[in-house]
Amino acid sequence: MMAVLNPFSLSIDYTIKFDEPYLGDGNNVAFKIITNDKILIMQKVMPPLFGQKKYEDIPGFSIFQIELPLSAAKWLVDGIENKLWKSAAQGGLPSGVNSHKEYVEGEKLALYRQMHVEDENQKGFLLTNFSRKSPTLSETNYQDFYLTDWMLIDGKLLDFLKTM
Amino acid sequence: MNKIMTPEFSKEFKHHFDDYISTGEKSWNASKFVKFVKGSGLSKTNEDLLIARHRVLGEFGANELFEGNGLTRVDKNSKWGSKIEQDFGVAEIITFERDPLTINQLNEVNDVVTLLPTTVI
Repeated sequence: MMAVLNPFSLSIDYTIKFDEPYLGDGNNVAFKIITNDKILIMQKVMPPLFGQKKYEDIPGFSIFQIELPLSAAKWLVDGIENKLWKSAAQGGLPSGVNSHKEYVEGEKLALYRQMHVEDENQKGFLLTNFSRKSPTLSETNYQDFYLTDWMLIDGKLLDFLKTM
Repeated sequence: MNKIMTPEFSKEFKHHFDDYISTGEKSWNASKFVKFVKGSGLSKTNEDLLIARHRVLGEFGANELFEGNGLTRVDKNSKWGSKIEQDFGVAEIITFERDPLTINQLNEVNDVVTLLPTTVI
């Protein structure tokens, strides 16, 4: 199991590819995409949760992190744009289906459409990797990570993922 | 659902949920609620139940005023609730349909919803 990466002190194997303000969870959250030659890591980096040191994951910051195979970027774009954002009539998933699960490079990934991501009526997605244990939560055998439509569109995250 | 939508667990959830809200974070933020619960020194079973209950809140809209007895508690702090005498309000309803029609619309097509008379409890 990998630990939380400290984005301010990365080893030479890792590169920060995307580093922008996160749109959807207040003003103080940075969204980062970090890669090495095998994996893609998404992070939300913020001041210590609830103002308490015990919630720090690295000195001075709390972090939400998901680890994905590199080709998950393409899988994610397809799932969002072609499967879950489109209605069945537009070629998306059948009516009533609001999640998409698939093995990507041997890792079981799931994308769920959600109506209240981090705030009321703020649409977005829950992305889960069932093949990796949480780096921050005890006894949690999966990684959950939330993305807002706001970040994907206005935050240009989707445009960036298309370049990967 | 049988374990979390009960009168006893509804009290337990409201207690922890109110503590979480008092930190100033949004009720819908599942990631932060999970971190909060995991940092509260509870048993693994209790953590899992609270996290499951928060998913029911986020995905089905069953907020902390659901009492687990079939009726929601009147929020006495709200503008209208302060003028209401009784403790319980509307029935607890969890909807699994993604984008349902209203009950009137459903019954115009076919009498698919049976309306039951209410009785005082």
